[in-house]
Amino acid sequence: MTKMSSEEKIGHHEALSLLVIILSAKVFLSFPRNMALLGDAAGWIIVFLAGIYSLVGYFFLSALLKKYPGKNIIQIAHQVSGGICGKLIGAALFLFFLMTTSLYLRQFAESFILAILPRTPISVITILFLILLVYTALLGVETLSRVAWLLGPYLLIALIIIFLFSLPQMTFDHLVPVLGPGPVPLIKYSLTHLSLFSEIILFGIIAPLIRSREKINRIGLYILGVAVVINTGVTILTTAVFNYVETQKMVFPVFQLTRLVAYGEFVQRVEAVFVFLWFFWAGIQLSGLFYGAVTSFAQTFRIKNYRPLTLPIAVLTFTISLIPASMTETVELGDYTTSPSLISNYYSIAAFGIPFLLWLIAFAKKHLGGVTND
Amino acid sequence: MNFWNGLKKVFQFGARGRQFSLGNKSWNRPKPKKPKPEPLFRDLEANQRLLEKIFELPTNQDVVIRDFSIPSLKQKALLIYIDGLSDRNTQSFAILQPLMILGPDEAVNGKDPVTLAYQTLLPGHQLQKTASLSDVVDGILDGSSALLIDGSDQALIIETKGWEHRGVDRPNNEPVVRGPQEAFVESFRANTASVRRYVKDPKLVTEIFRVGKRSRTLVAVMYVKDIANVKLVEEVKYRIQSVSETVDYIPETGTLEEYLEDHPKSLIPQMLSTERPDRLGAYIREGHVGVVMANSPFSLIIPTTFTIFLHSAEDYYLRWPFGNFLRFIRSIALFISLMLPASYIAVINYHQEMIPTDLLLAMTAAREMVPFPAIAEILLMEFAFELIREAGVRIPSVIGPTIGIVGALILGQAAVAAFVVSPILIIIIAITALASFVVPNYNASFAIRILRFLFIILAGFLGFFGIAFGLFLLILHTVTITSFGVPFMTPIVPYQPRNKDRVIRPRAYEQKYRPLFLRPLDWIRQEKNPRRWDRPQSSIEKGRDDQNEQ
Repeated sequence: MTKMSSEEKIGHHEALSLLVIILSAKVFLSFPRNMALLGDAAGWIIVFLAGIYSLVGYFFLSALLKKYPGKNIIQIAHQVSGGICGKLIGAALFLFFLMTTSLYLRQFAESFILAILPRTPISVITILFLILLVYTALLGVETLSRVAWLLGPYLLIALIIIFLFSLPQMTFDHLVPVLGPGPVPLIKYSLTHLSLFSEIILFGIIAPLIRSREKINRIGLYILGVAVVINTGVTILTTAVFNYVETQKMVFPVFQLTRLVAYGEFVQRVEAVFVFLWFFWAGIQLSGLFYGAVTSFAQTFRIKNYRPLTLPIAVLTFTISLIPASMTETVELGDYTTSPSLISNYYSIAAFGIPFLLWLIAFAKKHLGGVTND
Repeated sequence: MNFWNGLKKVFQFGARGRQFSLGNKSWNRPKPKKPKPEPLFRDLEANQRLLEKIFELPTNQDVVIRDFSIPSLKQKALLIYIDGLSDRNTQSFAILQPLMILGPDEAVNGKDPVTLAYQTLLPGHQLQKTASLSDVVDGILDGSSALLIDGSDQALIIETKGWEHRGVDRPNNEPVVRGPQEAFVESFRANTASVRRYVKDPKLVTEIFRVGKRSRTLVAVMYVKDIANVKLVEEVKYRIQSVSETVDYIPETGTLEEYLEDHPKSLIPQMLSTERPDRLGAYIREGHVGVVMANSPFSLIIPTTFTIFLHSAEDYYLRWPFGNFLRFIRSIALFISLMLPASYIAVINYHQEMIPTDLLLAMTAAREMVPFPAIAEILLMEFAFELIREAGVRIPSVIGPTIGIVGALILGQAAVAAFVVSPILIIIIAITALASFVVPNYNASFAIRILRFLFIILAGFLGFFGIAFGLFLLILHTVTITSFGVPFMTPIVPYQPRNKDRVIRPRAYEQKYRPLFLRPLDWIRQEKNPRRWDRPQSSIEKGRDDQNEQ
């Protein structure tokens, strides 16, 4: 463990709320739409199944973390697979975090422009977010996780308010046909779209910082459990309120849900207030992923102090986030069509393939003899 | 090189390595060095010359040196004091009279004359024997009288403090409806005594320091020895001592606060200053450390967390539904005074669709004649209100009522009548002002006043997005800062499940633990079930145990 990261300690409550927020931030983007595109009315089943599979995938990560206590996934990679391979794996994870940060940043920026600031240039919003990300990364993940725990309850309350106000509009008839395109495609899509829960790999980076070691394994399970509930719930909600045909046409369906929040003559069209929900959720998620990018880069190349890396990586993030030419292109980059895109595959491999690979190597080293580095 | 140092500083920003924290076991402060005391002479005339040199006599006409002889000891003596600071009656009847009139009892040869005077001659209740020059000088400056006798290298400091001072008064800045109605005053001993009256605990320790190389102001660090965390107390003492070794003058706790706090550049106050001895006593009982200073009617509570700024002394004296109602109102007021003007700007400029049509029409009609954009209007009015506020404090009390007339008539009514501001905006400003007075701490309301302007500007740029951005930064900052190593937002974050007195307080008999974030030596404030008649089973068991023990 490097000197800098060992100074920081996270409580398990804080880690839980941070990771749940990071895993479920995508519901505010085009995630419900993508699920409707994939599975028609049965989009939620895909999310649910993918969640179950990701639990299996998480098993390897947690086994690694248990076997090498006090080390994060990149240090484990260095130890298990050695020099070049470890660096390659670390670089792959860095690329994963960089891509997720940049693309989510772009998507959130687009959603803000669509929702409340139609005439603001995208770079203004992106740069404001990047200021936040750099500031958070300099303050460290301890602060970020505390913010997540502080704001978590309010974010949850806001989500519940959205849910309650859209209750009258819900029709469960919209959820038929229950199995959508049929059981076989559902299982296939949920396997190919494991990347829905790929951000769990960040847990591999921050888990060694958690104060109570014996709880690490359980916390990971809780994180995935709560994230699956939120993501599945929102998918059901959008489909039940709008039906899947309409959901497929919306870019940011949850934003449309907030428009339903109204009470009597006076409280109407308050969707602008939900900007706070949006912003805090996005801010915490992006900061977490950005922290992942910065630290994974630092640890891959064994840099003791990650702080000087924040500015260059922020510039890189900004550049990548501006690559998509338009909002449509941005939304389609995450491309959840029947055949998963390169990016989606990459996410799945980075998040679940790498721990599996490392686990296999560690397992082989242990049982087939050979040199152990322990 | 400066550039690189600056860059280094930026990138070390937020690094936790060198910060003090209560949990950091390996943290050790260097022990303060005690300077070697300067001795007195045996010869009285040499001592007199020395003191005359120190006090710039005879140019200085404040200091009185009274020389006389003590017939019973057959020695010459000096009494030194400052005119006006010391009590004449005590000096005449309890020092000079016994020394000069009492006859010789027995042979006094061989014994130290100061010891003899101390033991047999002086009837005063508080005498201090010392051999150090600096003690004598400090004692004289405090208002005591110093007695030097020929043939002894020791001196007696006789307590004769008696200067004109203000009596104990009602608290001006933290009034309560129910609860004790007394405040600290400028007199040091009266303050420490009034804390002692609220914490009648033999373990309450009052350690006294002097800060300021020249001002030598008395500072008392008060804590309960078997509750307060040892490291916290050591840190407070260490910081006060290192300040006292380096700084010339520290006039008041406000200045001391600036020297002591963890983040002096932050907008957010990290210590609570209170003028209520009952409040200071309550926090000392919890494991906080109190700092009381001479000449200052405000004491400091160390460390302080965010929730304490929402509390007032009265919350605990009222029944819990009432106290919590006040807390609830106060939390909303905090939010309003921080956010309302900014939200108004955001809604008016960016999110007009939120306003119901009727209200929108009314607001538009009211704003129709106003030539300024809303943000200029609100900045203008906020600034005018800040002017009223500052003028209200500074204005000579004879012409005080004018403020009301000027504020209400000119800024309120006339501004609307002249179409300079819209009436809706006056309402917004008025509600904000009311809410900002509800925030129970003067320092905290300063932070809110300044932050309010920042939020208005952010809202003017980007609407709710700007406010959310500012709020996120503010939350990041408050979560990062610490007060003497204790995170500012605790017990909310880092989460302390056992300390439930956050924004809403639990019933008094349910608060079993002292604040655990202070790492007190004694965690338990009260036994699990003080209301034994409420839960018969446990009370029967408890009773049995008690009998067995007896």
